[in-house]
Amino acid sequence: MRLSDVDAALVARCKGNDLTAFDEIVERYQHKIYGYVKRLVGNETDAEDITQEVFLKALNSLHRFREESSLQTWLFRIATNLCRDAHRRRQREKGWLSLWRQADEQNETEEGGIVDPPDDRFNPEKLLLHEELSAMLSQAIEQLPLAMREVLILHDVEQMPYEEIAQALGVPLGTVKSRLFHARARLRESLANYVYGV
Amino acid sequence: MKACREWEQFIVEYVDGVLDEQPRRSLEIHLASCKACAEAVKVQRWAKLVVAQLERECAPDYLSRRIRHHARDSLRRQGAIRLLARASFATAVAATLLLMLWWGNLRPEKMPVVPVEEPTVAQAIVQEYVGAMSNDGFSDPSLQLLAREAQMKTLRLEPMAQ
Repeated sequence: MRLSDVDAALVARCKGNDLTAFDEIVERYQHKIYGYVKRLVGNETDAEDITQEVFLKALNSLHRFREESSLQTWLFRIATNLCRDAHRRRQREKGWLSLWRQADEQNETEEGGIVDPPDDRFNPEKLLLHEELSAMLSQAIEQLPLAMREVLILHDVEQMPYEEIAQALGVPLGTVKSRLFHARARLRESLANYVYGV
Repeated sequence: MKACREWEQFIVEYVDGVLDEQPRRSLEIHLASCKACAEAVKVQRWAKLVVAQLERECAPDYLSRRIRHHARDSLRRQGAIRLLARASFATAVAATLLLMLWWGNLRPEKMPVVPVEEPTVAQAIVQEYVGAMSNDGFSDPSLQLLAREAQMKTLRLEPMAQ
């Protein structure tokens, strides 16, 4: 998808060092980018930081934007890359933390200390007591692999067409459809306990 | 029950309402006979509907202000860095020029070179020959004169090309 007239004008003004055009771009896309990032990273603080980074990165590399895709697709692409980086960082930290915890737990068991009870956040009975469907759904989406989550949010939440998603994620069109199919199927599987009549 | 792999992408497009006429008809014929794919269509429809009901996340009010502030700050910093780089370059050029001027003024003057005429090979041979004859002593003064003339002629010879 090509650049819309409004976006083209904003980009041209921005390239001419007009910062008010940049402000307009922020106003236009901040909610979409923030919503997408929040669903990918799962918390507000990281989502705010990444959203800010998306726009600053866009401002600094606007001269390299070749206008072959829409501004929205380009921004989503930057956001996706930043979220992937954050995800990788978090995975690494998790790896270290779990090793740390394992060592701690081992020490406590050996010393006869108290071991934490297993995490029962995902126990359906407990969940049904105080969670609403949207909260469960958000949680279920968070459980999806990142690649599936990206496609699901861009298509079913942001209503982006397949071609734009393929551009934003840098993957072939067939991969987008395939990931969407499996993301929806897995979502249904993980919410099986709360779904009746499907 | 798993949907047939080759129909997966068609099912997605079918549920999203963007499947072309021809493949849509083929899929519908297939769905009539394949329970797994028919079930997959239901699951896809359900998930699409549920996800669409998710509330849209809105960025907090202060976020745009924060972004604007950081953008201006970042541009200011970049401008300062660019200015510093230009100033450093100009200073380096000026310092180099000054150094060159200083070196040009203080370096030792060139000493005048006095050309030393090297005797030619012919001159050297004649000189040696005449000298030897003089030492032996020519008894005949005409011979002495001839030798002297020969020496004079030789001295007029141009030095050999370098």
